[in-house]
Amino acid sequence: MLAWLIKLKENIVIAVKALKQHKMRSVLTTLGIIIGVLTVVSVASIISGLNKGFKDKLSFLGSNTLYIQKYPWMTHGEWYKYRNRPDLNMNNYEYLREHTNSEEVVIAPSVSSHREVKFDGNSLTDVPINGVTKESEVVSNMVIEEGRFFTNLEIDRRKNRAVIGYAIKEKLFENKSPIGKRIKIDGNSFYVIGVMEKKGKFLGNNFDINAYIPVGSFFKNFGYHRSISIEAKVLDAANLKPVKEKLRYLMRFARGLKPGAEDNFSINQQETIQQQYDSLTSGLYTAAIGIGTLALLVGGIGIMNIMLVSVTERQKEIGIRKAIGATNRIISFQFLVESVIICSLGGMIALLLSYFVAIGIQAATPFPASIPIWSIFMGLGFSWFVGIFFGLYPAHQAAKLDPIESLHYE
Amino acid sequence: MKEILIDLRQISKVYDTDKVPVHALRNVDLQINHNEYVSIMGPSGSGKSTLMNIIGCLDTPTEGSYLLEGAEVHTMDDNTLAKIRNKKIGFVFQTFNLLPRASALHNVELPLIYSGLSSQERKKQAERALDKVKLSHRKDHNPNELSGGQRQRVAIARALVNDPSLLLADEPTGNLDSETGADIMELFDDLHRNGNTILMVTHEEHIAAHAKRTIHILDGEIAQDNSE
Repeated sequence: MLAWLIKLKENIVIAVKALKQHKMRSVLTTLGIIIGVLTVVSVASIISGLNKGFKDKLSFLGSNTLYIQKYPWMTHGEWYKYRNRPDLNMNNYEYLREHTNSEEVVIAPSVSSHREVKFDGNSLTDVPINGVTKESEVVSNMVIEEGRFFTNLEIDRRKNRAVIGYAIKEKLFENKSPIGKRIKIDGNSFYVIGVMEKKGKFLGNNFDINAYIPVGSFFKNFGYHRSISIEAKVLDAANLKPVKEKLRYLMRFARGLKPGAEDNFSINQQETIQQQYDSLTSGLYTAAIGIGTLALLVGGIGIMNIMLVSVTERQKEIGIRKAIGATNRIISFQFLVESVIICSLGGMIALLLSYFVAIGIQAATPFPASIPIWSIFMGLGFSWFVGIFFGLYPAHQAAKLDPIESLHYE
Repeated sequence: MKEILIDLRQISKVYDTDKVPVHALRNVDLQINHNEYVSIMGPSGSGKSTLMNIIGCLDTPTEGSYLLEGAEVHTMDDNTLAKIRNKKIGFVFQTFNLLPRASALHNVELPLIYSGLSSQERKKQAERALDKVKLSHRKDHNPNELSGGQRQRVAIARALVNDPSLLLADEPTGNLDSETGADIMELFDDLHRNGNTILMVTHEEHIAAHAKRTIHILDGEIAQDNSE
């Protein structure tokens, strides 16, 4: 064991010396390995960054929430099929609410429109204004940071009261307290009663630029003829399926569908996006691994080639080493170590580069990027594997050289 | 009592080159004792190099038996032969055969690496061997910074470092001028006096004359075996 460690150390010294002697050649040789590892690790870092951001932000949709809407989320390019469906309206919502148990599922309408919001000379255009009910607070996980949410009375009386997003407070009120102040939404006066907790940005959407008003007030101010969607939060995740079925049955009834008729609404859930997202990222992974493997293969052949050259160049050295007692195994081990070291060098250069790639992506795009630990091990593992796999043949060639012939090789 | 070091019996070596078998050695019988000083002479193509390679465990005979200190060399595989070369045989070559990019000290250490010694122990023994050939002061120099005679001394130190049973020298003065050659031969004479067994291949009479026993090879057979 000790003897092997001594020999391993000696082999590493020999390999490093040989590589130093051919610096340019060594770096060029590792280029394939660098590209291969870089591709895989970079894509892994992009995707893992995306995952982090995406899963975080996707949770605002709520994994237990069902979205009853006119259109399905994934239309697969056939949106026109759903165009003639009747809009969902408040009657549908009322019907669902009356026929479900609020301890099982909480149901809220969702309707929004982009409007201009003004306060004291400051204005924000294109602010999503959302009509809400008392239930929305639960369904959409609304957390109030300052002030309060609407009372039932305010909702029922269709009061012009507003809860605003954190960014609106920042921008219109320059961070002074907006509670009790009067803002204008499309020229209509609203009292601010609350400010939402900060939610953050994702993929260019700022969730903090949003304002909420009672749904009745919404219709009163912005018109009654609008398609709404209905959000249903299932309180126990285990009930998701039966509740979804129940809602579907109730919706069919509310919309007067005959037995056998197709649904004229869709019940969407986060899972749909998740599935789409997963298939996208797995596609990316497949492509990256494909490109990476190809580059590693080319790199590996390059390594094998250069190792064969090295064996020939050093035939005399091999002869000398054999004459003074190096076994075949030691000789092949020496060349294997050298090949693994070249590849590890490439792997490490690639990891270093992918770190810069991650930083670059972070700086240049809205995508977060982070290098997952597993991809570092995978990168190094790949390069070791290539080193061993493509080093075996040259190492074997070196080991089987005849000592006498090699000694006389010039 | 004299102990037998090398015992060759009915050794033959046949090379199958271009489908015509070439008999490099024919039924050679040879015994060499510990602490003998032997030279092998013969024209090129006589088979003396083949004999030398077989004795040095670099090659195996086609037929016959070879006992080195009682061990049956002719039945050994490559790895065992490598170990025998490492422990029992020290080679000195005409062209020195040093590793060009390693210091004199590292060159001398090399056999000890393959016997698995720790680096401290290696250094100690290698320095002792360099001391024996009076080259301690040049231990950190690479071969290209040394003269021919100095290189051959490094090679001799490398051959001696594992304290082998047999020192095998193949034309050790062939690449040296006569003065340096004489120095090297003096060193061999000293080593012999100190108890080493030396077997030397040469085609020069005055070099062979240093040995106490001269064997002439001709057409793969021992033609003459003269002891003083």
